[in-house]
Amino acid sequence: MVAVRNELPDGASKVVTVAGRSIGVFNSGGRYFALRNICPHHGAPLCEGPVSGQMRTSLPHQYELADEPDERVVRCPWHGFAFRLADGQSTEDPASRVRTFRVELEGDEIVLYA
Amino acid sequence: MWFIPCSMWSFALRWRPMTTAPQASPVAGPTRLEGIIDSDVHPSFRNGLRDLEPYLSAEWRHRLGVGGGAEWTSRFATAAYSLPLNPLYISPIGAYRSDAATDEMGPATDPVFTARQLLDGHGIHRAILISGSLVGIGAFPDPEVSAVVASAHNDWMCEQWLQVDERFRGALVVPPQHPEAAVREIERHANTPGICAIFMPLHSILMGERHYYPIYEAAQRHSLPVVVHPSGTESVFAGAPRMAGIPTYYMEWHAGLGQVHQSNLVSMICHGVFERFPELRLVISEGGFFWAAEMMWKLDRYWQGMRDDVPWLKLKPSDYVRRNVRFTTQPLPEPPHREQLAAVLDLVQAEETLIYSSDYPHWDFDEPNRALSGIPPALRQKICVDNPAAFYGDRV
Repeated sequence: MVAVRNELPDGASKVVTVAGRSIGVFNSGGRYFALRNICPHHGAPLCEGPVSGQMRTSLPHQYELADEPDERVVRCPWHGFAFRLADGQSTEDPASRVRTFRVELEGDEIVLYA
Repeated sequence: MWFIPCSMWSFALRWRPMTTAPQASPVAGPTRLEGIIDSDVHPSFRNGLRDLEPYLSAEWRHRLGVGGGAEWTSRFATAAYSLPLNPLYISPIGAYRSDAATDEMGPATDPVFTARQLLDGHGIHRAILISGSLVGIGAFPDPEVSAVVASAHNDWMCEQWLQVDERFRGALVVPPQHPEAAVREIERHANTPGICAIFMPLHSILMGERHYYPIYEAAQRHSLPVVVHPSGTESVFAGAPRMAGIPTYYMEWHAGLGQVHQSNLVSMICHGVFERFPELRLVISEGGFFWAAEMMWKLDRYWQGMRDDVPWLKLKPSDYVRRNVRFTTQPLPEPPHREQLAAVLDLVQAEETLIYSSDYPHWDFDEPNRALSGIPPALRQKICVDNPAAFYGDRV
């Protein structure tokens, strides 16, 4: 258990240490996600960065925001590299991915399996 | 390069040593290549705009002040139009190969002499002609003047050069400040034998902007690469491309010209021009290329973090460079150690991105077999023959 439900409202995140590993836990639109708190680029504390939607690939000079809970990304606080909360995948580099962990709401408790 | 306006030849020629005989026997040197394509050769007018007299309507001869007056009228702005070139930076060694002219003949004003000296003399198979006289027309304040001069020039080039030697190929000049007329010109000449590219002189608007899209659309539709080249008017005229400031010396001006090309290439990539026109091909001529390595890596890196700025870029920025852009080699820098050149060629992925150019008849001419000596023969073959042949396609 890493938190009770009202400690982590929609849009909030929390960094916890489990067995020596730093992991970020996120509530995105009522869905819970957990990622390793290390950016693969330069080792920054990734999960301390802001969470937001991201622009979809679009036609030139047009913008479309992808902002559903499972489309949101966490942006590295150092260089802005973006990783999807849902699967830890870099949205630009297919070869770059951050490890994710299962996290569940069990009753009133948020439980991280790491 | 450059630049001495046609009207100043007489001045320039006075203080340069002259030779009269064109070089007829090939230069000896490293292994010679067959089928060399030279992507930057500058034919010039003998007497400025007066050369275009037969190709202009009576109205435009009147309007431009071409014909009817004395030769010297073209040198005075109030009497006749003159071509926007840069008379403010004067090279102490002259702007041209001194053996490319005689007292009676300005450099690259005679197609037969040029074919003999450049093509026969250096074993060049194809020369792509980029007007030496019209590089600055992006600075004309009147877009119609730019369009009319470009159009008359193209007829002149087809008749006076392309029909003289079958090894010449022409880059069709279009007025960059008048996209509608540029498209008309492309339609008019797209299928003229010998036309293999579009030469778009530079203008003050960066090349990623919508202003140019009709030109890019027509270029893509006709499968004609767009060639850009320093304008010779940078920072001198308001309509010319800008440098960071106003250089003082010729050397300072010339060494800094790459900044214009960097700005234009980044502009095109960021605006998604190569997404909108995926088959558009761009040749950056005489703009340098060492900078391309840093630019590609920097853009790729920024793209990772800042893609929300330009989410239409489906590919890494460097992928567009490799797919859509080629750089000409001249003036090829000469690093103190030859192996440093090989290292840079590797960094800029020269096996795909570079094409050979001589810049004949200018002072910084690169001899095709000498300038690239010391790099692996297979790479030299790609740069001088295979890459340009693939990029320009059947027309070359």
